[in-house]
Amino acid sequence: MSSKTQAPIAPDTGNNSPVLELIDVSMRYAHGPDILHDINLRLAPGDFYFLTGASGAGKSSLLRLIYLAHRASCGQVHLFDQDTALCSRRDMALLRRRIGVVFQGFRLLDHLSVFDNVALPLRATGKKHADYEEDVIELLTWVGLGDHLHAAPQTLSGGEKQRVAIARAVVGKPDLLIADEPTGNVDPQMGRRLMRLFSELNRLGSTVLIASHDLGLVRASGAPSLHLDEGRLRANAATQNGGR
Amino acid sequence: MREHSPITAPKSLLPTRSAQDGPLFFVIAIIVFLACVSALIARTSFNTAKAWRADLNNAMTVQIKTLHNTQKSAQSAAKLIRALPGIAHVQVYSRRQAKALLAPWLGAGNIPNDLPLPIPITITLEKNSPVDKAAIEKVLRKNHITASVDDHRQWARALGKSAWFLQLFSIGALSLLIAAAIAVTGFATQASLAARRDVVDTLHLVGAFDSFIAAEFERKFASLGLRAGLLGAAMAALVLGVTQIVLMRGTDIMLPVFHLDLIGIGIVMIAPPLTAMASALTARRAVARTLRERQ
Ligand SMILES: Nc1ncnc2c1ncn2[C@@H]1O[C@H](COP(=O)(O)OP(=O)(O)OP(=O)(O)O)[C@@H](O)[C@H]1O
Ligand SMILES: [Mg+2]
Repeated sequence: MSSKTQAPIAPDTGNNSPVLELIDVSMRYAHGPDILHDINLRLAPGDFYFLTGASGAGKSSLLRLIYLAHRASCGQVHLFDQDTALCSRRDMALLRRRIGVVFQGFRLLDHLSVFDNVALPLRATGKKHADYEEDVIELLTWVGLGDHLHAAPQTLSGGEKQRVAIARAVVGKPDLLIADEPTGNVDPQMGRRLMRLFSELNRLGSTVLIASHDLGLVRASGAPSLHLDEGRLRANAATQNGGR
Repeated sequence: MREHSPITAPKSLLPTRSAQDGPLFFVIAIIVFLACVSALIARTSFNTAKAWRADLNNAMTVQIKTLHNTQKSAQSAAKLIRALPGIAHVQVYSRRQAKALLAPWLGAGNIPNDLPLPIPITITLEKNSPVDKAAIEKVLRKNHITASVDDHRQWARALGKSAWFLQLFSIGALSLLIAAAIAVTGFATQASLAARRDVVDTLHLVGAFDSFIAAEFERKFASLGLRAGLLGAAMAALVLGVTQIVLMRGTDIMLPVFHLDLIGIGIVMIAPPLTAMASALTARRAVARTLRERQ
């Protein structure tokens, strides 16, 4: 349906109800103390936000909550207009399919090739090899890994791994893209290139949330940012978000 | 116009080899081996008991108990019995043979020559012979020969009972082995799952259904179970076959160690697919349990 533009990806654009809504959310690991406190956050379709904060502030934890790897200890998490507390396991899986994630540790599977790692979300959701082969190759070529399709992830540099992780996050044309430090290991030029990929995705309708330390990059992008400070969310001057 | 080498989808998303698969493979193979051996031995003991019972049913023993002219009474009894229909063979023991039979109890040479000895006559019946214990007793009584007739019914009954118990025990042992196999597979799947937690988590996070993840493990363990089952069953057939050949060499006695009839072959053939199925099902259950514990 969407015409091919620069980036070989194009999400299905939804209607105008929020993609993500967190209401008074707190979170903790096991029986530890709360890591996040009273988070209120609302992302509309097409939003593009950075998430900043000191190391240990809880950025990854907040993202984990959003991509449904962890439950809130209190409050509500709504994704695509669904209260996740009320979702069946199957519904949760269906929600996860609409979210692309670049994990902080990449989470590449060492026993699969670069191609198979990127194709994983498609394969895991029942798509046929013949239907996605071209797309995956095109995408990997675009992130500069066209010559590494058969490589094992262990043999890649940090930056190359990161690009594989990004390719895997965007290959399913997600409605919501979550990236945890996606440019931490690449040179500035590749960093800008990857940011362009995210912008391109965003322009095509994906909602994007990127956690980053790189304040220079954040500023250069001109996108608004949310700031986490000891588990509490503060909207930066540029944005109105967080206050309900 | 593609310049890339062709890409083929991997059969499994799980690592083909993980550390605990080797030991698991051998444990399953050994369990299948033991299960096949005990099943085949049970099968053989059943066959042997059946054959023995048939032999016992075809044979009777008569003991002449007249105190005088025992040998002569025995000869005339034999003659009377031979005259009956359906008698294959009648053999009268000589006094010397009868003495030899008693020697283990009384000691050789301790039997005085004038001591009257019961003289045994062994009778082999033809198949479906109309003659039974009562018929022989009747003809002997009519001719005033005092004798006891034994048709080994007690023996046959005892043998039948012990064969029955043997079967019961081997079915019990088999059930335990199968339970052990299932427990071991379940345990190993959990371990494999823990070791492949990254794969499970990643699949989970990209939106794979639990059933998809379970099917990946199921396939892997079905193939592992099948291979281990094949090895175990083949080893069982081989070991018992070789044992049989070694035991039979130089004798023409059919020793009842191992008898590969159709049912025996069936047991060996069905063991590997059965193992594969059991492994797959156990894996599926273990995965489902582990996944339920995830958010
Ligand atoms: N799995 C976990 N179990 C227990 N505590 C955890 C776990 N993961 C993170 N934490 C704790 O939660 C807090 C927030 O961690 P988090 O990873 O969200 O920080 P972050 O902002 O992403 O940091 P960084 O910028 O270094 O990635 C930290 O104090 C950390 O120790
Ligand atoms: Mg982090």
